[in-house]
Amino acid sequence: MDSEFFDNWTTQLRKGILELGVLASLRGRKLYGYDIVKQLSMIPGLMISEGTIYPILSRFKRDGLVSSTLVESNEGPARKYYELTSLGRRELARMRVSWRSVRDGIDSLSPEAESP
Amino acid sequence: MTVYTQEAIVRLDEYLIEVRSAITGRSSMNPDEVEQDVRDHVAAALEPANQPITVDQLESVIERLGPPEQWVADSHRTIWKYLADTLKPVGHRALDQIRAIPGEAYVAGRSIVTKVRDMKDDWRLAYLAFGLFAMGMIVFPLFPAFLIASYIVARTEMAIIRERNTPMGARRWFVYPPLLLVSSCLIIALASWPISVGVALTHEIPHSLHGELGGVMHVSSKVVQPVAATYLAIGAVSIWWMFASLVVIRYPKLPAVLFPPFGSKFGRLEGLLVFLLSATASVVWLSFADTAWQAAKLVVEQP
Repeated sequence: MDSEFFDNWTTQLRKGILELGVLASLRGRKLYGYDIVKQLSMIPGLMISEGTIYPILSRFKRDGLVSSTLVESNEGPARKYYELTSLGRRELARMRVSWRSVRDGIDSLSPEAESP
Repeated sequence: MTVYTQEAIVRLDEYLIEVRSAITGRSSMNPDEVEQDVRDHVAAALEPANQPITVDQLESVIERLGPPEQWVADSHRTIWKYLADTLKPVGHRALDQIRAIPGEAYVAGRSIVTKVRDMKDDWRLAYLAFGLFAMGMIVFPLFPAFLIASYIVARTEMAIIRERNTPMGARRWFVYPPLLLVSSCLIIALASWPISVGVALTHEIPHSLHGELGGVMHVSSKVVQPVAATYLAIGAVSIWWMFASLVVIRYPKLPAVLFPPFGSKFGRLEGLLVFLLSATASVVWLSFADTAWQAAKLVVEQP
């Protein structure tokens, strides 16, 4: 029961944060899909399936938050690099403020959370 | 350029079909783009590996990518995608049965499946919709079941075309037959069901009253029943059409959703016209209310 509850909770949490993670990984730089996956894989527990980010990138592109350009690669076929648009940068800034506010608020509610 | 073994090519194709199937019909994503991204991801992940890439090497990358149907939240599914996903297990069972067929029949079936897979993706559902429709004609006792399946596939195709914002072109000749037939039947049923109510009510009039009713209605006793049935049917239809047209005026996109493809020609203005016509018919109908009331009293008060 405890494990099931925790799994559901982390799944719900991950869904929202992954979108923030994708936008944050593109802050100030261009990355291609596989690089974004590698960046996000370094955050423990954020991604269960690596493929999850591709539908998100497609949606972001349609919503005008990211744009993509094909760049020739020495190591193989041309790679599609993603970068934030000005709308994407604005939305990322808003999401980060909101995220910090929630995180700090939760922390302030349970200052002794590290030692239950 | 990444080189794969034949077995790995087949596995990658199967996985990409799963990807496309999971993404297609989602209102906010481009299946072509996601498929290409996944293809690039696989190539990038296998870049350091010795080539040709074996199916085992590929499988480890696919495992990390995960099952495509888990990538997208249910909230991004359209109703037609939901129906298609619901029917998917039936298709899988059918495929399993085809695979169980031995020998040449299996090879022939496999060849058809491969040909369909290699078709330009945008046309597959159009062909399938028409194929199901035609099959229903051939196996006529099963026509209703094939028609429903064909209609669902045709609606899915239309949703995808709308989502991709591409012209329908010649695909309409494959997609329209089931849509036109089902929409026509629905429109006729929805528009005319009150007639049956009116006609059914007049069956309660006993023959012994026809002479007396003819006097009240100022018609020959021989035509009492058809005149009464017509009167009740006109009343029921005009009241129903008034209600239906008010719904269309409030929700002008409803006809396009319910009755593709020609429902899109019917909007708020047409709803208003039908409302005015049916309101006029209702007023005319009510002008005979006194006579109708006298006739109804006779029927109700019969010993």
